[in-house]
Amino acid sequence: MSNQNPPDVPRHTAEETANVNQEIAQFFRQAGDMRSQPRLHGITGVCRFDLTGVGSWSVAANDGEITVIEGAGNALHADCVVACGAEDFLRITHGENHLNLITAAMQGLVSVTGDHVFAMAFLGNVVAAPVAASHRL
Amino acid sequence: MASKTVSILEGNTFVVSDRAGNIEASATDTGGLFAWDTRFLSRWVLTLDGVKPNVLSTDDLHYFSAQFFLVPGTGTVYVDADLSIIRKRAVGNGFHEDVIVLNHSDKPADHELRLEAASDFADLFEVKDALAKKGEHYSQVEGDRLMLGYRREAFTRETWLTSSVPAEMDEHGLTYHIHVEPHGQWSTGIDVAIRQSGLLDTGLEAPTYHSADEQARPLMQMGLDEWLDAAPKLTTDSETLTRIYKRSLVDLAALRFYPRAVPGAAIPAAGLPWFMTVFGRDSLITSYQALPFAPEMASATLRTLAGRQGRYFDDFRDEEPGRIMHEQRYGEMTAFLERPHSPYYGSADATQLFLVLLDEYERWTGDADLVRKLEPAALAALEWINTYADHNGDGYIDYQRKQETGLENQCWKDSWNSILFADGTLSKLPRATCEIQGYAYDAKVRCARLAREIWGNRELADRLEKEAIELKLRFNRDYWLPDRQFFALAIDGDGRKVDSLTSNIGHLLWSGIVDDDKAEMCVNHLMSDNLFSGWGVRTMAEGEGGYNPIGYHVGTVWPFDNSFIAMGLRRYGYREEAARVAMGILDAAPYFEYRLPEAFGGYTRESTKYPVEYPTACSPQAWSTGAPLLFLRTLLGLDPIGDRLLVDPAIPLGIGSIQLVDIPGRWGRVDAFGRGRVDLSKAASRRIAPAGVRAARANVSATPGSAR
Repeated sequence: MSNQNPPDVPRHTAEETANVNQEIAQFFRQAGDMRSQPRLHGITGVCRFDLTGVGSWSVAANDGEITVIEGAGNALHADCVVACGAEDFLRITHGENHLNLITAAMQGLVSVTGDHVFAMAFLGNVVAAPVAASHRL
Repeated sequence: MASKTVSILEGNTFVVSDRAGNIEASATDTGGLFAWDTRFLSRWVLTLDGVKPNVLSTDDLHYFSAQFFLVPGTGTVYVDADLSIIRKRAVGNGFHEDVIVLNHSDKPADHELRLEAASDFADLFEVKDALAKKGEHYSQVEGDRLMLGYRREAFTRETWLTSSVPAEMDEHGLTYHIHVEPHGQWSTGIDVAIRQSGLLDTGLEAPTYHSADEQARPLMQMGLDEWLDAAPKLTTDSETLTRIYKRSLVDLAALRFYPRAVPGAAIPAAGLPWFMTVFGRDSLITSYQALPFAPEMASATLRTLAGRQGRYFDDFRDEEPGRIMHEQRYGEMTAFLERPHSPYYGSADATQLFLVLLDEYERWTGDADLVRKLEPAALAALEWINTYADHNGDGYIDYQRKQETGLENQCWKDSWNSILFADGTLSKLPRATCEIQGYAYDAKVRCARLAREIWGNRELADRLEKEAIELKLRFNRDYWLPDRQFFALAIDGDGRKVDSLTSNIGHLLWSGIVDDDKAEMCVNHLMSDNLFSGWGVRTMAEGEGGYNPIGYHVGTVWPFDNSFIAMGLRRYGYREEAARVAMGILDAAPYFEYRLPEAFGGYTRESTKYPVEYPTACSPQAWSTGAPLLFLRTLLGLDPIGDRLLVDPAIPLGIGSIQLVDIPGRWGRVDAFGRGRVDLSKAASRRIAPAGVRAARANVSATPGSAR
């Protein structure tokens, strides 16, 4: 797209950065531990997450089964690649101000390349966070 | 009733223009080139020597293309031009437009032809609510291309215009200095392409259709041929029905939306212009109506909605675990979380209808594999019905939005003032409308069958059947209005029965929740002069405090509503009444060029002689497009019984014979035939007897039972 300005890069202390990195690593560990996600039945493919300054994770979905591989970068084939800043990624996983990966991608906070059909089916079911709410009035 | 606008569409891209082909968007003119909920062109005006030509005629026979025949204005009432202009437009990935100027004189002609272009890049919500933009617009000429753009942070939308013939381009349009020889012609082709940042970015793609290749046809047109070939073939004595059927099939094809999450699958978008997107309720209802004609649509709808089923509690989106979504949007306001449609879950009926369609789909197609694949989604939906859907713990499904951005009414009658007491006062939230209980009953009965026959879960089947029986008992006790002898429209937040007489009781018949001894009174009300206008059953009965014949959900007639009512009447054995309702709506269709609108006025047929247009009705609208298909099913009495298709016609004499061949289903392809035997010339209206007489009659009458 033309005339696009790079977003401001926030500055953090080493401790804050370490915390962010740790939380992201934990997120992908939990995603891997989940192993099965019924809503991904019928969906097969690999999505790589390139998180600026933190690293990359490849998440493979195989008809509902999930496998997470850390640090392989582009050594593995990926059907789609999600790239974003570490802080934005955490904002998404926290559901900050109702943000989810779909709206973040719509805003342009997150870049999604590759197979968009796969990405649309995959992302809403892998990177989403429970948000505080009441089910009784 | 010729429309003042011309709409062409493909997928979720559509163009709305005036009859000259011009787009001049304003607060009162909602024209434009729209895609993915954004207006990419808000001004597109052709002038010749600075003057807008006059319209001779407009041709929009294809849903994706239109032609506009124009002549220069003379400044008088007379049209005596020796020059004519043809604009040919085809939509798909933006649009392509050919402009052809014909010189009919024996002298050369020199003119300045200009196309003014501008875009406000309004989100559809901004168009509807006249809201201001929060980002900045930009435009520039790059070589032989004009680019119009909009930016808000990293969110960008752009429109690119290119011309096959060199044009003088500036930031506000294209100018041609044309010379046309005597009896000659001049032409150019213009591509209007769109580009979006973020998730929807697929690069800058050319429009689907190009004039350079005369043989080229938009992809959707090829799909249309296949679509029509795959549908059952109708032969009937009724020319009206023939035309309605063809129009419905073509419009349904036009409304196909290809969700990116389910490759190759087409589901029905809800309607033009505001609802060209995935809707839970609308897509489910339309897929149900179209099952005997296009069963693959139901499969795509079920898979798409299962993929977006609610998982969490999210007050902003009214999301709850197991809940089926209401609406998905892709525009700026949704991206920046100013609207909750990413997706929004505020529907109190889509979850039940999802289960109803799942069972009905299997009954028609025998596709048990899909039912097995969607078992987790179905179980989550049942869990939602039994737990999260009952917000105040009274045993009935109810709704109340959690935030102001949500929908106030989450049933199909979703306008703010649709749930009124008989004195016209507004009921309180949370509201438990009657039909959503009926849908829940039907969903449980149907899922009990699926549990027993496909999921192999006898325990679940027994439990669901028990719950369904218990719900039916409670409902017939708690919602019945003994003094008025029909079911309350709702139970409101104060526990009061909302006592207006409405069309909702017809949906109760469709769902099967009505006790047999109460069915006849419901039928009497539906066919009474107060509810039945002669064209169809009104959403609210004349005489109720809130009744308004042009009120969106409080007096208008909705074809989709009537298609469900007619099916409900057949379910309880009221064949003649079902035929009468179907005939009324089908009689109205020719006044709308055989395309039934979303709704029309509830005025009495005898007084107006023609159906009165409802001003802001969507057209084409998916479930109105599906209504004639469900009427056909009802008139022919089509119902799957095991691996066979039952045909039990009840066709009005006025229609004559109906032959529907190659009906797809688990039986392969079968044919259905019926002759008109139902005489509708007898008195149409039913009288409502005094309450005492009614009560006595109900105790002794042998009312036909439910069909299933």
